[in-house]
Amino acid sequence: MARVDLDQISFSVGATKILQDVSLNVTNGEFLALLGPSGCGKTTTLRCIAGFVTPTSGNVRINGESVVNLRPNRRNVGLVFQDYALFPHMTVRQNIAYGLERRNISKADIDKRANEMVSIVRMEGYEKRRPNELSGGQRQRVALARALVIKPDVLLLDEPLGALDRLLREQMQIELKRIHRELEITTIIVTHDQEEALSLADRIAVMFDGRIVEIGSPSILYEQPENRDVMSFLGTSNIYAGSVIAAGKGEITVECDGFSVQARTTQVSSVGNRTYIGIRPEHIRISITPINDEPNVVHGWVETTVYKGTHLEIYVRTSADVGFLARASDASLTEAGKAAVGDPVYMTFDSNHVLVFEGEA
Amino acid sequence: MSEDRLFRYFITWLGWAAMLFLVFPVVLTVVVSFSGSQFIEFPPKSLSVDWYTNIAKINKIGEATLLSLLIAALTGLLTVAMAIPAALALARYDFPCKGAISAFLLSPVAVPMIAIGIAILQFFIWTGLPFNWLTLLVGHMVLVSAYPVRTLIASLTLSNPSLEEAAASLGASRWTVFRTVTLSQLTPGLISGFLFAFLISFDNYPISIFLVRSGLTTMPIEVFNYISQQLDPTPAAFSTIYIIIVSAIIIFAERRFGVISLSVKG
Repeated sequence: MARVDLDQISFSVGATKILQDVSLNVTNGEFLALLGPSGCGKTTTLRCIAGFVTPTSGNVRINGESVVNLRPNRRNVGLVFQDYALFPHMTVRQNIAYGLERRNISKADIDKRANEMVSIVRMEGYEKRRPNELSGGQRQRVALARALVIKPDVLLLDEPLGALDRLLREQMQIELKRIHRELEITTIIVTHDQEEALSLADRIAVMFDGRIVEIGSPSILYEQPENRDVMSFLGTSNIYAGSVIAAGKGEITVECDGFSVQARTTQVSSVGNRTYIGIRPEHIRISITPINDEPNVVHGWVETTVYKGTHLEIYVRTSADVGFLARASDASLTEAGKAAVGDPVYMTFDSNHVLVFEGEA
Repeated sequence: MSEDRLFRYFITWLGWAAMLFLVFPVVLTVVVSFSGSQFIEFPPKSLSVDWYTNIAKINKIGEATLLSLLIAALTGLLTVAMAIPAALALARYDFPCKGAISAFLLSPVAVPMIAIGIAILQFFIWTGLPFNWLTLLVGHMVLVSAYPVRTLIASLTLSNPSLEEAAASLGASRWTVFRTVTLSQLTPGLISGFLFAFLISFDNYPISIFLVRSGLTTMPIEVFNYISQQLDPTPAAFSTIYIIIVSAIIIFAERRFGVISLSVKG
């Protein structure tokens, strides 16, 4: 258990800047997700902590002490690879004991700790099998056990669930949470899957182009992101460019292409400012009868509906050819379910739910 | 018939023809070895196993085979040992002149054996070293060194580098990583590299002929001498035994370590 600090680390290969001033403070026992599209530098950041990449500048500290000059085998870091990287020529048991055998630990203690870890990841009875005799989920558990058994200061997970199918992935997410809770180990997970980040992490750091653009709890990042790219990366969203046509106390009116919306904002804004607004699909209500008594109403026609089981997605297009995506979670009961393709509909949403990204236009 | 199918027909037949071309001499040798005739004839008119008992009549065949085995085994072991660091460097690291060094290490394959033989002969004459089994060994090592380098690079390219990183992050030093993880990943390359080196050395004639002196002699030289003086199928009998043993070794190595697929992919 430990805290991990990255102090403005940068990493370049030739003229290509892979990481730019990445700073991150992960506290004791925290579960942090590094989230971003492929190529954003999240894996490189993880490899800086593990010791496989030496930053061009900046410092990596574990428990306050700089580790940049330590080789990977001196860092006491547990690493789980996307492809698991289990040793194919060793049994499950030998894989798990590998890290213990590299330390000054008595045979009896190795046995005890390896057995304990086998039961934590629920792999009893598989000790003598080889990795190629295991399913994807089982390999994942062994990889996790192998990384955890050495009692690392920090557990690093590199897209650990990427190779699993959906159902297994969800099971493993629950497992990961359970193990994290039981062992209270500082954990950093790298993922491009926003759902995975949202469901696993205490905090998420979103990375684009080698920079961390926003850090926050899953709910803050999802509900009140400060960055437009973060909003569009985390879940689905409707984002439009517009300009401020009225600015009042904590509230502004933004004119977009063919419609205008009222939004609450804490930012000081003045008329004429260019801005972006964002609305989550689940905050848009669909009505088939005209609505006049609400501030935010946008008229359009149903373009497509997509039934998703738990919810219904309705794609609406306005007369100014602007597309909206709305999501009705109980399709059979709401009016949205009655809307057929081509029907005129009225979309309403609270000004509280309109996010404003000013100064980015 | 579509053009595509015609093409596939053509390729299939070409493949079979090539196989036949490769296998025919082997089949011919085996069949001729059981011939009852004094001369090499195909197909044989009568059958006998007399030529197998005649193998001992090849001049110095026991002594020569033993030396060939010794030289081949040492050539295999030493070149493989030398190829490991070379392959690791070429497959895992970047350094100046990497392309040139790689081409240089693999070049003996591209140079005619006779040329290598003459070059090595002149080199040893120039150094003034006595010609003995050591000079023979060095000559063979030069000849075959490219093969283990190649099979080991193939092994390394196919192995997963994150295995080594996993071992390092679990606390293994570089040497321990090599010993416990890399080496086992290299096994197919080591085995096939050794086999290539061993087999090429074992039946090499053009290099050996330049380097044998003063009573030293190898199996291929003696077999060739016999053929140039006698036309009976005794060498065919000897070759048949040789083919059976080598086939058995290769089949075992392929089953156990998958070495053929490795040398093809590499």
